[in-house]
Amino acid sequence: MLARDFAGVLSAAASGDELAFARLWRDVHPALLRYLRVLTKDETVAEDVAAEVWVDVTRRLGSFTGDESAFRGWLFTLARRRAIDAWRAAQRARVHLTGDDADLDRAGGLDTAGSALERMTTQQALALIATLPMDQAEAITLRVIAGLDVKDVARLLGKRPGAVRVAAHRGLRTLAARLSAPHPRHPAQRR
Amino acid sequence: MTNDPEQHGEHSLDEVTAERLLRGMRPSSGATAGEQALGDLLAAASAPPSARELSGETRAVAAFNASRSATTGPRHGRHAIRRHRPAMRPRVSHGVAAAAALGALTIGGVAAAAYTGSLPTSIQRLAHDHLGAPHPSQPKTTALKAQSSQPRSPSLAEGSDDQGGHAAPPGLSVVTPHPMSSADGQQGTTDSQNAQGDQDQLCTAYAHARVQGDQHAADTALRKLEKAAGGPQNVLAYCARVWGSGAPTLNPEPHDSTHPEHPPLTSVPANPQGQQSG
Repeated sequence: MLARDFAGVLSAAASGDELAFARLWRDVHPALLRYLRVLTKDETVAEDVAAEVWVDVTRRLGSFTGDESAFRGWLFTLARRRAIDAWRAAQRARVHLTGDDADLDRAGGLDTAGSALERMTTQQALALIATLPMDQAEAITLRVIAGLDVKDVARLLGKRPGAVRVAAHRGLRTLAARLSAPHPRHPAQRR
Repeated sequence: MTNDPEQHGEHSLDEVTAERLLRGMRPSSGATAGEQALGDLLAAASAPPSARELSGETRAVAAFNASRSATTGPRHGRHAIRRHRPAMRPRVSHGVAAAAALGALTIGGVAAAAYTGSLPTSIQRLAHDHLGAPHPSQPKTTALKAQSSQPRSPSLAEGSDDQGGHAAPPGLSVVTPHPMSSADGQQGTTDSQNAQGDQDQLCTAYAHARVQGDQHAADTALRKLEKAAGGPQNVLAYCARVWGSGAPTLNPEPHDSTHPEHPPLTSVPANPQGQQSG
């Protein structure tokens, strides 16, 4: 979060200052990407959607007013709509992702050996969260990764704060149950 | 561990701890192993950005400049950009439907389009020169490959202007890689679910070992996982698909608001590229 700097950075970016925009981007993009990864379950799609979101943001930056958490709420709302659009377009096209295996591999690949394990952890964590029912996954992601509070998340999702709280807690319980059980009982340990 | 993974919903996680975790705090010192692991998981999910996540900054800034000059700059020169509709327009209108069918992802601007490699070659080359987007000679196929024959459904024509009323689809991922392998597919869903469980388990075992900090178990699990996935470079895509494919979640309750138009995640079988080797 940019905290005290936010207002200045925002207005500079709105008037075309690319350094200010870069600061905004650096501050929000990783969380945006992770949210979209959970939502779309596909890194390539997440990156594509994120790029669209930033174009949206750029276009409308001048008309945005509000503080930093309002900005994040706004940006993640744009992201959510874009992701849903992408999902609908994909549904329309009856898409099979498997036609592009190589592309998927590249998208998810461990291309940088040095940071591979670190990224693996984050990616695995996101993948695990993404296995939750979507309302739970979103509630958790928006709170923990995007750093939004219950009220902001509720507004973004069009739900009551109580429903968001319940969804998030329920999701956490499921995750905790999963993590507590490496389930060695399964016969799959074949080599 | 005292918790049976199948006892979903019964797992104890008190409200205070849950709220701590959701605020990005660590569990308190008396937390159970499950809560600690959960804290680790969330810490990993919100870890500082990786170099890769920040690697798009230059392009993003270039797109920022391009987009600004497209919307506020002189009207001559950038014909390609001017083809695009204003951002506020409903997504699926005449003409746009065709674009959506071809490009799969709806394109919000030339910069975003250039990233996805979905522009015509000449424009793509231009974008490459000016925005640093991929060169047309090495097009990056969009993951969502469209089949242009799909007609526009009127029910989808409402487009994107609705608020969050339409919750995100339960699985935005379109692929559902049920491993209905020809080898053991005779038993239909039962075997299929077992195989799915195997794959799910490989990924989960690895994740579990990682968050527990058990390097040895993690290495072992990763080796198995790499083998199953068909190579280290396939591991993430493999797990993303296994996990994202409707692998049985522990909490089968429906969403708060149901959306009958979004089917459950089990409709389209497809083969993960890393077949079970056993």
